[in-house]
Amino acid sequence: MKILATYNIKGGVGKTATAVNLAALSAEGGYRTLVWDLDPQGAASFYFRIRAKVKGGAAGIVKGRRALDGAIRGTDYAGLDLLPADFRYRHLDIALADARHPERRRARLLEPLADSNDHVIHDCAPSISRVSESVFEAADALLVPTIPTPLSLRTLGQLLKHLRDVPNTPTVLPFLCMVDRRKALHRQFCRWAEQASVGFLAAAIPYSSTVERMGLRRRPLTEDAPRSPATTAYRALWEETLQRLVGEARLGPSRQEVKAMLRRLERGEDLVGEAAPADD
Amino acid sequence: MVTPSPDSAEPTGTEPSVFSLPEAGGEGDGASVFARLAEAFTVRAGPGEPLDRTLIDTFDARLGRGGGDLWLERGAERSALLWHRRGLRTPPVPLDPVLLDNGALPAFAEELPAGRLRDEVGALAAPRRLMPTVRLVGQRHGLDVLDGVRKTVARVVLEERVAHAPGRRQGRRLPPLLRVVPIRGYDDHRRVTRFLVEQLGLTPTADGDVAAALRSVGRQAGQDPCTPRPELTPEVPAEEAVRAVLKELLRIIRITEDGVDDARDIEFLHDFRVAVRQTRSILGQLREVLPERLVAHHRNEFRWLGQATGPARDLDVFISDWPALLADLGPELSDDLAPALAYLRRERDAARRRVRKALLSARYRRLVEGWALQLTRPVHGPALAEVSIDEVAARAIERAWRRVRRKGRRLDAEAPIADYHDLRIAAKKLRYLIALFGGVFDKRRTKQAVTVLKRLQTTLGDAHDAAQQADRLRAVAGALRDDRKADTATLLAIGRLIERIEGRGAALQAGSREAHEQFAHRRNRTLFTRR
Repeated sequence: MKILATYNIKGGVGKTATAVNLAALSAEGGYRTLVWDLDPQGAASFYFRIRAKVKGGAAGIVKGRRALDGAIRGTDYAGLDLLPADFRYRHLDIALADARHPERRRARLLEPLADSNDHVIHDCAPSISRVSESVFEAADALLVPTIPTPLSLRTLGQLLKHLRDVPNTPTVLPFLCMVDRRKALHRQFCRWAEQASVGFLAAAIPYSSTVERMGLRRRPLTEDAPRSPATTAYRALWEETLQRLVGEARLGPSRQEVKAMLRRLERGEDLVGEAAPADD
Repeated sequence: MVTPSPDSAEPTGTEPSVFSLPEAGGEGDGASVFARLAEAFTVRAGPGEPLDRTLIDTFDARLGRGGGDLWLERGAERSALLWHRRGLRTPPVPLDPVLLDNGALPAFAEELPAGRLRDEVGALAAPRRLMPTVRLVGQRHGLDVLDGVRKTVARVVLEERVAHAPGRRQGRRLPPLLRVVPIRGYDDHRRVTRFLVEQLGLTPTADGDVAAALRSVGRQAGQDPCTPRPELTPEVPAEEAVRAVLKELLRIIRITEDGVDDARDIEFLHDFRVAVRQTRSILGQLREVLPERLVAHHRNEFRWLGQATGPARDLDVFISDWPALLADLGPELSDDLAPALAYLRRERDAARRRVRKALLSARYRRLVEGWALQLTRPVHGPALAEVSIDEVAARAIERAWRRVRRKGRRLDAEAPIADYHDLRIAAKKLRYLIALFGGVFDKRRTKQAVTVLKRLQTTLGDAHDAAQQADRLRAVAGALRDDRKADTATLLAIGRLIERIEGRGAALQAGSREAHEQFAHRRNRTLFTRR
């Protein structure tokens, strides 16, 4: 079982759309897939038309396996299940803090799921909390959607810096998201990410109204717009993620790599700052 | 996405949820059931869609016997492969298939797209070819049962199907099947099932898709067609029982002969040869229950057939073992040995051509056709023919067991490889008797006997293969040297490989002696004798 998470300290960067679409692609590829909606807002649950409520709430989840197994719901798609969000997840931090070894506690919750799932994809809430710490501990890879703006990049830098102190650092897979190629800054960012080899995945998700419409249609893009450019981009992102997961048994960048990456990121910010031309 | 497909077992294994319905137009048919469901639940009917589904398995049903069903489902817009491990709580998962230019499936599991399906199917099916077993063509109607936000909470699927044997136009209509498919985390399928049983009076059927479909083309679910299954009872007269077994073996020879030519699925040739060897073995070991003229001529002819197909099988095994033999030797040595492998492949191709020639010959045709005739023609046999099979088989098994014991006791560290070979053949003969006639004895005892014997056979078989491979490599080295097709590096590499194989062979011979000691232990005596 491989554990993934879509994560960013910033909100509104496309985490949920990424989690939902990658999960649909994973299931379409024949992998038994579970989405764990960890965001109390419950957007992933909403996309799948599943009620955002878990019996026992946060405390029930932390308690143990039975609660977790019983809370899983089948989506309308074969091979794809969801562990719904619950508004009471906002207390998950407290429940985890009350447990012994909170980071390991949540990782242990995932163990029984290994028999029935090939991929577990967490849709995390923004911000750094006890919950996100526990995800860092358990995940094989963190997918970090990053809007091509200096502020977003700065946040990515903050995350990488923070991960230096996390034991069992997961592989960090940042990728550009909500790319609007009409904007010169976005274009320049994309070029920079490509050329400077700062560890961004090659696939980039375009800014698209098709993705926004997911909230109305409440279906993953593979169902709603299978041939749209956004779907194609998610497909490329999924294939690249799979290659990273299966092809390279790398469990995360080393401290030196993170340091180097940060330095490169900083250089990138300068570069963009100097050259930022007017939009088209 | 493709609707989850049915499977042979219950989707969750917890309650009956498959119903056999009358044909369309009859009372209580699918349309009327759907109408009643629409009255009782919030539903969304999907458009009726053509159903075209082919059950894929290996020739010897490895997937079915391994507890899985692989369906290739062809839809109007897309096709999908559905793999379902029976007994798991998860429903089958659809996968985008890789279709070849002619629209057919990849022939081997290794050619499937990377993922769980390839891993699981590959583990069960390798090294055998994947092939269509039965095709179901018809119409499928789906009805989603919805909750308040129009989320699917249960699914009802009605299928009307005609089953076709591969390549056959003529099919056989199967009764329409109604299936209630649960959605994880929702209990609503129970409500639907209860409604069908209590309100509509439907009776669940235990007969799933696979069993019914296979039966319609004359096969049994989960059965290897290459396993002889004579219907024997202990009191059947010996001659009748032996004839029944020989007929089964002839059936296997006939169903595998087309595949013998298959250079990639080498198990056809193996199954064919096993049936030939078993026939020969029975003609030798139980000749006293058969008329003399039936035995003499055919024993000789089956020996010819065995000899004509032997080299090809040996080379098949050698070539498929090659990567394992080279393991840990390093890539350089592997490069140096490439000419040897190429030579073995050429030899194998030539041996296979000889097999093809033998099977196309008039001699082979005369043999199988004449043998079929002989087996059905009533001939008055010798006196022992009337004795019950349990008597005769028990005596033969005991005799064969004594032979194995005697030959094994002769072995010591100095024994020539020929003695191991003799023991291997004797053990094989005993195994055949147990495999073919064990059904008339206590099942547990038979199973134990096979386990004890198998251990011995495995080490003997490996020791034999090692000796043969070393000999063959010597011959290869000689031929390459004579033809000047090998440089010094290749000849040295062959020498190293021979050394390695012989080292392994010596260990296997010691292992065989030890295995024989265990086999011949007093505690196992009752497994093979009546005392």
